[in-house]
Order: sequence, then C-alpha cells, then structure tokens
Amino acid sequence: MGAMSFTSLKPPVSLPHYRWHTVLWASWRDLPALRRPAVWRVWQKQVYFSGIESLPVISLIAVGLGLIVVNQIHFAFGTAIESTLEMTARLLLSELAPLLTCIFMIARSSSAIASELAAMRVNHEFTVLEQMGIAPSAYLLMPRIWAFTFSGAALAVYLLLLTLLAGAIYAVGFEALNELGVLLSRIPLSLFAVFMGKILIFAYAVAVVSCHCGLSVHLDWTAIPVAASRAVLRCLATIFLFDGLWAMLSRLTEATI
Amino acid sequence: MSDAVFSSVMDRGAGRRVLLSLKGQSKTALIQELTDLCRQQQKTLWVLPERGGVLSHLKAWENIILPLHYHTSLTLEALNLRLSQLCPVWGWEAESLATWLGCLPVNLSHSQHHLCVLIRALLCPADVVVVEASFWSAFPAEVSERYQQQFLQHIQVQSSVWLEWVE
Repeated sequence: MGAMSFTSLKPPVSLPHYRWHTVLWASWRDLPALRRPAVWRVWQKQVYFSGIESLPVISLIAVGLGLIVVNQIHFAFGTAIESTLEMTARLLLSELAPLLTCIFMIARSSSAIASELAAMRVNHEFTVLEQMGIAPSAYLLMPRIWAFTFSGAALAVYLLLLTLLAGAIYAVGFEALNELGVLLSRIPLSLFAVFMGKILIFAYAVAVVSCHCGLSVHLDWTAIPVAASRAVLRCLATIFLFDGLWAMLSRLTEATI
Repeated sequence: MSDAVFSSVMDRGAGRRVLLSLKGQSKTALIQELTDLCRQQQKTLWVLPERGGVLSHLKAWENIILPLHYHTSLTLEALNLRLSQLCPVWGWEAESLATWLGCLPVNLSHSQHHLCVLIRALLCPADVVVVEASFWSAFPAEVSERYQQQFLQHIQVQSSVWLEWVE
C-alpha cells in the first residue's frame, strides 16, 4: 500500500466563490425565473416555512407585546387611552414591528437557510444542479431571497395589527375595533411608508446575508454549523446597522427640510 | 477534455458510444470540466455516479421530476403520469415505488438512491450521459444486467453521446 497523501483528500475542483454582491445581483437578474413552475414551487415552500409556519409563535409574541407596551404606557405612566394607542402604533410602525419581525426571522429561518445551502455546497449539489442545466442562483437563491422578503413584510403587518388589537382589547375591552379604526385614520401615511420600507429592506438584507453565509463555506462538514451561527450574527449586525443608518438619514433629512 | 475535443465528440451524431477509462480524481475533474462545457454550450448532462447525484433537501419524487419540472411547463400531474408510464416498461410496481418516493434521500437505501437517479435520467433526455460502471453494482445482480441493457437502448435513442467509465 502506498503512502497516503493528505493533499489527495482535498477536493480536486474548486467551486466558484459567491461574494455578497454576486448573491445580491443574482436575486434581481434571475427574477424572470419565477415564471418556471419549479422555481415558483421553491418560492412557495420558502413562504410556507418562513411565513406560515411562524404564525403561531408570532401571534404569541404580538399578543404579549401589545399587553406589555399598553401596560407600560397607559397603566404605568397614566396617559389617556387614545394617546396610548397612538403612541403604541407609532412605536410599532417606526421601529418595533420591522425590527422584532426581523429578529424573529433571523432566529427561525436565517440559520436554516444558511445551513441548508452550506450542506448542499459541501455535498457538491450545486454541481448536480448545473449538470441538469439548472442555474443554482435561479433555483436556490433568488426564490429564497424574495420569499423571505415577502414573508417578512407579511409577518410584520400581521404582528402590527395583532399587537394593536391585543393592546386595544387590553385597554378598552370590546370597544377595541372602534378605537383601532379611529387610530388608523389618524396615523400619517408617511409612517406606513417608513414601516413598509424598513421591513422590506431589512428582510431582503437578512435573506441576502443568510444566503451568502451559506454559500461562502469551505467544502468541509464542520463548516455547516459555522455557517448557521455566522448567519445569525451577521444578520443581527446588519439589521441594527441598517436601522442606525436609517435613523441617521431620517434625522439628516428632517434637519435639511 | 478541451473545448475542441468536446465539440468534436458532440458532433459525432446520435447514438455514438464513447468509452473512457478514468479513475479517481481525474474522473471528478472530467465531470466538472464536462459540466462547465455543457453549461457554456447549453447542453444537459446526466451523470449516473457511484454516489451522490441527488439534492438532499428534496424528496425522492421531487428529485426525479426536477429537471423536467424546471425545463418544461408540464404540470405535476403530467409528470406523475410520465413516471407511471415508465413502471411497466422497467418492471417496477407503482405501489412499491410509492413507499419510498416521498422520502428524503438520506432515508433511502443504496439501491433506491440509485434507482432515483436512474428514473430521473430516463424521464428527461440529456445531450450527454455519463455513467460510472460501478453505478449498476447498487442493484441486485439479477436486475442489474437488465437495467444496463435497457438503459443502453434508451440512451442510444435519446442522447448524442454516451460516456462510460471502465475501471
């Protein structure tokens, strides 16, 4: 038996390295591939895993959050019911709903996406897709990124409405729906735009970072858990950085106006 | 394999069988090279490998229909119909297939795993087909020979080149 060379254990062919801007570009370039039934199915499955399966836990969080915020503002500081609900809505729209939704999605789906992609890469399954004439970016990355973004926006809207409803029921009982109707008519549209802008940008950024962490692994089994934990940390850092930048830009814009 | 050699192989026409004797790392390198060349020339390549060849996060039936589902606009019902049409030709019982088609590859036996790859290759014709000689050893001896012969006939009709490793 000849001497074993450790270099022979290394994979003979190196896979292309995915940089974050490659992932970002692929999510736009491959968008027309959503018309393909197979890709659309990946999108649907990701919406199911990231969005629909999250509903029970996000409902629990929303109810708890509604009770906590109203309790703190109304019962602790003694503000009027109308003001309490308006402050809650403004707080949720401007900060809490997008941020909490993203943190929840990072904990639940970001690590799952990263470890799944990392495992596929280690298994050389990207090569299998290429052999079938399927672009891995169009089949694996683009639908996941957009489904994650869509799920993030939908979950944030759900969290917002349920939190407000829970808070209103806690504060005023059965008059809650009337109060909410009045409240929503008082909130400026620009705040809704800020809310949607934030959640869409944050969720998209989290999806891109998660995919990138899953793809930028060494071809080694130990890289899979590393990719998952790295995805969580980098996604958290990304959304807090983005939120900080958003706050700075808002302040600068207001100062300029 | 250079681009020019690949092109000349591709130009030889339908039904031509090319035998290559390769081992170890040169085999992996050649597959990668062929994959790149096929991608550049927009050709589809089937590899029936000794191990691997499926996507671990998809169930067996999803792995089987994936290329057809991606490249065509066939509905899932139409794809299932195609799959069921293969059964009598190859001597498979639809009921016994159904018991493992819903499983993830990690839960499949060695022969089921290879059968999954084989059915996928049968469902969707490819421009280039690469078969590792050891691929057939996963099947029981009594059916392995039959599968090889049937596959050879199928491939000669549907594909332009058949590359097989003889180790």
